Amino acid sequence: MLIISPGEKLLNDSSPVLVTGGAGFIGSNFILDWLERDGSPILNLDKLTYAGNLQNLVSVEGKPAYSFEQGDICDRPLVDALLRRHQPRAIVHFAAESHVDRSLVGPEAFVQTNIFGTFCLLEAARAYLAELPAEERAGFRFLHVSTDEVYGTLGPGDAAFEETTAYAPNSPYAASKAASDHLVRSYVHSYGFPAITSNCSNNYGPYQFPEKLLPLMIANAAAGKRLPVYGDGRQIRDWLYVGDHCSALRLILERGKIGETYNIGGHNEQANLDTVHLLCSLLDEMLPGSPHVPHSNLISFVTDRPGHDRRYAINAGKIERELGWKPAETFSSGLRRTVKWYLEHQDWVQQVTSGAYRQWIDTNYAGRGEARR
Amino acid sequence: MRGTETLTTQRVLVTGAAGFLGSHLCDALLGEGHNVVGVDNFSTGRPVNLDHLGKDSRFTLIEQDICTPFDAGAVDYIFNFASPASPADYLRLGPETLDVGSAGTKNTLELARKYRAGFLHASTSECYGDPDVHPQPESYWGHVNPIGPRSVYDEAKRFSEAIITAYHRYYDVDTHMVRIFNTYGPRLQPSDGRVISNLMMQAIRGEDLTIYGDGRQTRSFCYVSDLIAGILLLSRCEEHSPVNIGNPEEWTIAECAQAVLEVTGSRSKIRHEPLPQDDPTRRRPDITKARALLGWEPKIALRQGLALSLDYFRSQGNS
Repeated sequence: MLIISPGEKLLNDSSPVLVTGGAGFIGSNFILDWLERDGSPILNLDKLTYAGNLQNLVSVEGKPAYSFEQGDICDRPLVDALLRRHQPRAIVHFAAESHVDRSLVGPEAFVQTNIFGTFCLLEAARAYLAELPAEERAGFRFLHVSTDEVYGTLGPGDAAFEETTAYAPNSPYAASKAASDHLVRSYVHSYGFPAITSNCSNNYGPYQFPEKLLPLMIANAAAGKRLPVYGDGRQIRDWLYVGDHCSALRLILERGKIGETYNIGGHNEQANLDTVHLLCSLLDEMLPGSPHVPHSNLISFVTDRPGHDRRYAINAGKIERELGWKPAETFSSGLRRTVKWYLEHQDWVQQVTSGAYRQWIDTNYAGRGEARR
Repeated sequence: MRGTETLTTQRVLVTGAAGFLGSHLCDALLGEGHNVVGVDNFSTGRPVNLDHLGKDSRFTLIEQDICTPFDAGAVDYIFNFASPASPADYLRLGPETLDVGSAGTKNTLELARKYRAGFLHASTSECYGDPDVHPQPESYWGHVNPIGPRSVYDEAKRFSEAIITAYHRYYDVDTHMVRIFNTYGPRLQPSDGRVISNLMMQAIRGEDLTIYGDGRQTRSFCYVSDLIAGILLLSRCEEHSPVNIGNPEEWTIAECAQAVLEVTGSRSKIRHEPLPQDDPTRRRPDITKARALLGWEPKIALRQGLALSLDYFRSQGNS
């Protein structure tokens, strides 16, 4: 139970929170959680690349508190117009190219969206803030959502990443996020811009695009396809249930200190191979009649990804200490929820992988953006 | 909360969440999987009624007087249950009771209008006043003394019905009204002056049971779970005019005292006191409309409901 005492502001006002990349995995979870728990208006700006899927948000479509704008954060005139028209009280910046493998094949999109896009958003927000009355300017926040991959990799005995760990990005993806983090930091110092950065560990949960480890494994295992494990499978990842990530972000937005960075992690260091085994045993339990039981027979090792970081682990002590955040899910409870969700939403997986949802977007959104202006 | 939508998670606002009925409603909505935002100014609501929700992250409690305009964010449905409701409370808080029924209802309706949320209002059998029709169907306009001591409550609730109907008519807000008859159960305030709580507490403490007048005036008593079930059904139907929810089984106060003595095993005696002004002599719901519209029927008989409430009243007796 969250208790709001008299005098505490119920809502800053009716001005919305602008979410960039709200049709992606974490962004859409954030919006769904926000509208259920906070309820103040949300404006979602998303380019709808392959990873953006408006079907994630079909349950809030049409609600007065939710609006959507298709567009690119690199499109400065568009961002300027949106800020002026909607007068947001905060920006939560998720929009990013995020798949490491794709960054190895085509790094340019990462530099464009993650670095230039963030720059463009910062510049637009800075100009917007300059026009705001002092009181509203004081309440404005820019929350930059980033990754723990900026810290590089850890050896088996190394201490987990802290907010003070030196940046050492190893992939073009991580480098592009590191660059955007630095830009945000510089805006705080140079312009007194009210930004806060969060760096999270590996997210998992509902609505994750099926190219990522967990949804890919769940889909393959359910279909009896092999489960590709990179290298020896001993790479260690620190897993964060996406709902816990969202609760941390809401808290940072509400109580975080300007100019600070907060690490967010779920205290769940797991070797990839152990994760896949745990997943297989959950599937054995949930699909007892499947011909593929035991699912662990489907595991097959494939050549490792170039420059694959061995271990990520995050120390989330600061946000717990200073803001009182705690993850609600353990890895096994979160994984159980996730597997259950994917098994119950095979139609969603089908649609996002077949591209059928693109058609849905075209038919649902043709001409809508214009009509609203 | 209509049709197929009942299966999706909604953000639901309950005013008067810490009250007797409001807290049971919060429990029922959380039980259905919704996120609930409770609002209460604790003028008569008791925080202890919500203590058991301390660990539920889906529940938010806002300390707020709804007579001041407020905005708790977008919601899908609003249950307006804020008001002093027992005679002891509304006689003590007369002007406040008129405020919450007028300004409070209007402020809450504005939220429903803003967010296009459904709206269900807790109205009351007191709208019928001291009825000259028996039992009371919804079509009965009531018999209320506008300047009697109870008018602070009766007229506040009648005004609420008027403004709610206007918001439906003029602004197309999806409104519903339930006229609640005497309800009892756990969390009913032990000292609120209502028949069941008076008699139960007196019996448990071994005091004389007070009966006002000759005890032949009748009441009907609905157990709280029956009432909440009826309210949830009403919130999901298309009916916009008031619907009676109550238990039509009619008891004289004297019979009721007898049932209390049996259930509690108390040896208390009966003591008669003069009837207060404007105390209705008979009141009993005509639930034909609720039966037809909602397929609703009370399930818990008086002795059973008293037995279900016994532990609660005992715990209040000891404290």
